[in-house]
Amino acid sequence: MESRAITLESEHDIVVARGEVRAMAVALGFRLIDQTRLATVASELARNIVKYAGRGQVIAQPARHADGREGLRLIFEDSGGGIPNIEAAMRDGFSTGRGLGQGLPGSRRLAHEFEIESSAERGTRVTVVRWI
Amino acid sequence: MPSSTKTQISGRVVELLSARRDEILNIWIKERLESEDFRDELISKHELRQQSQQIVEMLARALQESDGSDFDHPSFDELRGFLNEISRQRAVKGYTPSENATYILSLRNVVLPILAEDFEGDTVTLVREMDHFTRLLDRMGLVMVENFIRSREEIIRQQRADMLELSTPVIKVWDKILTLPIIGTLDSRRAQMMTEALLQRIVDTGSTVAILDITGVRTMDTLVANHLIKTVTAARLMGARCILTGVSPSIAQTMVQLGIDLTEITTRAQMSDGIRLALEMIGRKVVSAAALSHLRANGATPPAQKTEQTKSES
Amino acid sequence: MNGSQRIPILKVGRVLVVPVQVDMDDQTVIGLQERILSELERTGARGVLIDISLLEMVDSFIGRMLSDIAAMARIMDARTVVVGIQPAVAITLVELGLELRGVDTVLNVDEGIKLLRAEFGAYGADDDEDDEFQGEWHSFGESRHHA
Ligand SMILES: Nc1ncnc2c1ncn2[C@@H]1O[C@H](COP(=O)(O)OP(=O)(O)O)[C@@H](O)[C@H]1O
Ligand SMILES: [Mg+2]
Repeated sequence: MESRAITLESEHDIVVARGEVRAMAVALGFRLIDQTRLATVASELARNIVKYAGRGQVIAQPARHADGREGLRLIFEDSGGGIPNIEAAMRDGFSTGRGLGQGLPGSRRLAHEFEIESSAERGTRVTVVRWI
Repeated sequence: MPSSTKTQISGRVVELLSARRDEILNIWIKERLESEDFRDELISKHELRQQSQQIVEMLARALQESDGSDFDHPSFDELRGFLNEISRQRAVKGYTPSENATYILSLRNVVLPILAEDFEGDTVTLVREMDHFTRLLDRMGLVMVENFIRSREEIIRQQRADMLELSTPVIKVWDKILTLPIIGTLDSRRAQMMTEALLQRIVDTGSTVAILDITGVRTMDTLVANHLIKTVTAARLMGARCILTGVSPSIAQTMVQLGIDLTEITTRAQMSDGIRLALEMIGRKVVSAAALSHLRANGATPPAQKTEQTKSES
Repeated sequence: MNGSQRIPILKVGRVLVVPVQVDMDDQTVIGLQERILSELERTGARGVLIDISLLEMVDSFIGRMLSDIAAMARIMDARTVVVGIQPAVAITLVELGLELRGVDTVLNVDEGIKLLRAEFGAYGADDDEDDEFQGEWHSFGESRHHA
């Protein structure tokens, strides 16, 4: 299966991103519950880009685990202003934008692998993987 | 002019494999049947012969179409696919990994003497051909082993899934009331399956109360407790209330020590208390037959029965 | 005019019934919230029944709308009931960290109407006599709801 890159710059792109991610999860054979987890992660992290960085993209690519399992990797990247305090941003309920503050910590729980890098110069990149 | 440093198999070996196919096969099969590995309950002689013949023929074909130096070459696709299929079958049948690998590797002992015979006098070529052929067989053995292990893992995963399903019995005890007796050790996977099974049954049966009975749970830890809380919360989001029953004093103690907050979860000591509470929650009450007839005598006949009576009269 | 106009708000008795059947973008979510509140004010309805059984995903934005509607409706003396959260959505919500505290959730529309009726008689004064027994007396056999 091909990787897909989806541009994120408007609220509508959030809907597109979660739809595309779900479709890929379906095609890869994820169960309904995992499709839902992945679509929700896509919605949360895509919204963060549109809301806090203005624009960016998500790359969705099939992945394979060392033990042979298939999976889906989502890379959310932007070149916005970055997150000054990642540790705080990863806490439940922390928000600088009057949100619920569950997007980042919730996405970490919904994925099997979660990585976040952020700096004022290079923006933010969040990578998540869920295995089948 | 073919370079002599490359790992490649000469046309002569290919010719040998075709010309002396039956001889090779006979020796190979005889060797197999006599070896300790052979278990005739797993494969019939006839089947063994067929498989072996196909391997030798496919090998000869692949070598004809390529120089045999590259096992990943498309000419080996057919052989690779066949080896994969054999390994899978063997994994299903219950062969051991070594039985599976020895089968292919034993072809070496059969072919090498024939090579020696044919290349007599040309030791340099013989050694080179033997080396190449051995390497090729090693690659074939590797394919067998890899796929055997992969198939076995798949089988184990499937068996585990079957067992998980059996071990999470969600039982409907009354209209709108489900029970889930949790027995044994809850690992994270099993706990997850349990939650999903329960929630699906809630939808399917339209149940609004679920009783989680942990009488059969031996050890309580944070993982199990968190899963219980997660299940209760998810059920609540769907519109069903959970009652936790069968909490032994020692498990209650552990929970408190672990700092697990169960104040939001309704608990009852016995499953029977849980069922009574569940009935109340759906607006029913267990009363004795005597009390019921007393109620009836006083004229408090339920409307449902009123209608039934009119029906039977008409 | 925004995307939320595609989502109907039906008045049934004293209840607003809102069947959400499309994947909503954020503007639609905000628009829907505003429309529900202004309908509550306009009609004086006492209950809001939001049916999200067809939603395949509820993220923190939609979750927040549900909590906000419930809180605001309460101030307007109306009760909000969210209907039909699917198992996969429920598990995902819990893992995301949203428990929708303060929001009443029910399995299906029947249960929702029952809950609101217990609260104030969902369909107003036209409840028939038989309905008054609802929830007070049940036989021991099968359910007789909607018999
Ligand atoms: N891509 C991003 N660029 C800049 N800041 C971000 C980004 N993503 C998240 N943040 C910061 O991290 C905080 C927490 O994000 P999140 O957990 O999604 O909660 P919320 O979006 O509700 O605030 C945000 O309030 C914001 O300050
Ligand atoms: Mg966010």
